[in-house]
Amino acid sequence: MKRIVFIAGFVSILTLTVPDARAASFDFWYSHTGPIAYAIQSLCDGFNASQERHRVHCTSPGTYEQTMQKTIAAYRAGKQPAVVEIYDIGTLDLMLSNAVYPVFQLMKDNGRNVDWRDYVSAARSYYSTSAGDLYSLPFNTSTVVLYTNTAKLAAAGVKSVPQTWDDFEAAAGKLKAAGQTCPTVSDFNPWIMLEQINAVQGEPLATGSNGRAGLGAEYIFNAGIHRRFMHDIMRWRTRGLLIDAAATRTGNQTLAFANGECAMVIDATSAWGGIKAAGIVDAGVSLIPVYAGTVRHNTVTGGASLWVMKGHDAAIYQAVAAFFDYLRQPQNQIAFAKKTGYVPVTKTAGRALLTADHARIPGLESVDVGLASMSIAGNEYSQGIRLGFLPQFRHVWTEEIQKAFAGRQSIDKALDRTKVRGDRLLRRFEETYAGAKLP
Amino acid sequence: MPLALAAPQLLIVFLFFFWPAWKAIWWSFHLVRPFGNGSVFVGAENYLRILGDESFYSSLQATVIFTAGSVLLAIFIALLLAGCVQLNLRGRKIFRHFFIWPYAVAGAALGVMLKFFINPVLGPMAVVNSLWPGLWDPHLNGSEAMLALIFAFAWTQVPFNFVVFVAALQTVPDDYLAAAAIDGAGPVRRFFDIQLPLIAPFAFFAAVINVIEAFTHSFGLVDTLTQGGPGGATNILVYKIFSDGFVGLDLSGSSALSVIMMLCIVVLTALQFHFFSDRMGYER
Repeated sequence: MKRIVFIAGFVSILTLTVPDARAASFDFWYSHTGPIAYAIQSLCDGFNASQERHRVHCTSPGTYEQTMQKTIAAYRAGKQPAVVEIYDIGTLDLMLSNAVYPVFQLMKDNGRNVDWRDYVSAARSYYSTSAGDLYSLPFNTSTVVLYTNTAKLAAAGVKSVPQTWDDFEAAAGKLKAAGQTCPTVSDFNPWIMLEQINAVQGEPLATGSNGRAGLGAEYIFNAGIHRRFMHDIMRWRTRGLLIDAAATRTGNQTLAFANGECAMVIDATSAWGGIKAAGIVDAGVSLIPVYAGTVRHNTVTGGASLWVMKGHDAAIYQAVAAFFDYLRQPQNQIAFAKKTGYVPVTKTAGRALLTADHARIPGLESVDVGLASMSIAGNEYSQGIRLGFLPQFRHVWTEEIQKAFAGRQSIDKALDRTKVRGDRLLRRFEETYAGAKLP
Repeated sequence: MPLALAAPQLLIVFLFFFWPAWKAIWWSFHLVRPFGNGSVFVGAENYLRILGDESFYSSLQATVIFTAGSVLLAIFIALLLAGCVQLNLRGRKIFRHFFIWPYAVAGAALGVMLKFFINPVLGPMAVVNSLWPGLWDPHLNGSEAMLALIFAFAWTQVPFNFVVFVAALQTVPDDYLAAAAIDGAGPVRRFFDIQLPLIAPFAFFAAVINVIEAFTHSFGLVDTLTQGGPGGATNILVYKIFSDGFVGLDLSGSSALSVIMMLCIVVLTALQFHFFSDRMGYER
């Protein structure tokens, strides 16, 4: 009898100490520092506290670029994390990498029932296959909005927030006439000046639905609305209506607006946190202007999404699926949005944010407006782009535009040269991925 | 036994030089996918493309201007300082320490500080703009950005050159200088006629080291100060290699570029040794 008790006791101790075979812990790499990193860490802590079985270890290898580089190095060395946050422009490389476990497949394989149509359409289309299946999980989603210093606009006699670019120019002119040295500010980022402007106007960047039809696309932005917009930009610069961020006291467009030096800026919704932290009380947020007489489309997403890397055990993927389910829950998305200014990625969470009793939380206006901006009906050119060597292309655009700003070439020449150099990048990318098919 | 003793060092050289160099050469003949799931052999295509691309030549031009400018400046200033310290000034020992200290400042840290210095609105250079608006505009004017970079890099190299020159000047026999002084040659005359020719091999050595540093170790400075801009004016080769390869994920193009840069350094060093070392047979 004694013996039986002993054995029973031993067995029960064994079952207590041997961990559940299906429990798993995995690594999640994110690309932020500061307040956004804290918000992500609290999501991780929340997940770990919400259940006993799985654990997520969240670490940051650095900026978006560094995370991408380190993910590639880690994958080549066979030491990749299970989940990694990669910026929007890395999407095509990841899709073609053959290193990724598509999110829709992961959730299906692990018996998680997800209504993917609940995801905000602009975010969903950016990261999904041609069949509409999500390849990565939209995570920190942001888009462009117009921030205005309402007190300065009122003082200059601007009655309403600019809706069209004509209004915008007129408002900037009035601000300038009223003695505002920096009516508007910009750091001339191609994500805003090229990608977002073309998306909101529903105009093409490249043929084949901005590359979604295949790798054979060619750039055509230099003929369309972008040329008109850049001519406007040049005029605003010479008239002193648009100031270079580098020529402001902080050298940063968000801060130049936040400290009251500049009266208007087009910036990401996620800039809101910084603007609020700087203590500006007169900041208003609205949709970015469009050209008069044109149809407004949705703006595209920025920020990043979560990619699941291949090469791990089934148990790990089960834990990842549980983590993704946790991230999807409206209350967690709302908590994240409140801390960061990023937009909730599901419609349910967005509605909850806009309609529930916490709808009018001060400081969430940018989320409201960003969500509205991304929910407007779009066309094939506002679905997100699939263009190779996009980081290099952005670099080329910036280089050529800066030469035009310095007076070393005309803006038309700059755009045409960007197209030529960009097409060369596309052909090279096509060659590198010869035989690969877009999912 | 000798091999065993040398092994740790050999291993390190192999791991951190020969292996990456070989990898770069191999990649430069292929089109490599970043995640490594396939690569295509393309022969010399990467090189031909680079050699036919004008952005390579503008980058090369920027590299030459940057290297020549900063190396000449660094040698000139270091020589001037070393020459001054060599004079029997009061407190020369203290000056010597002060001039060596900046060597400990990392390029990236210097870049961050200088970013403030060259800011056209806030920093000390903003004074220029208050006298003449728009005169100092390094975020638009490529030449001004290059000028800032040259000064910054020369600043990092001066201490090293200074140490070399101070040591070199001490090797010059006092008898020569004393004899010249008796003949009535002043300090300036003595410097140019006796000291300078005798320390020329050291200057040559410093220049070679500076050039290689300018080619390879200027990265941190460019990254923090100008990011290759404006309009690619300061996009020197080492920065282009980084931004193409690591940010742009164009591993093959970036590898081909780094092989070209490696060849440039080899050729440059060989040329310099060939032309100068024979003529400098000072007391060997």
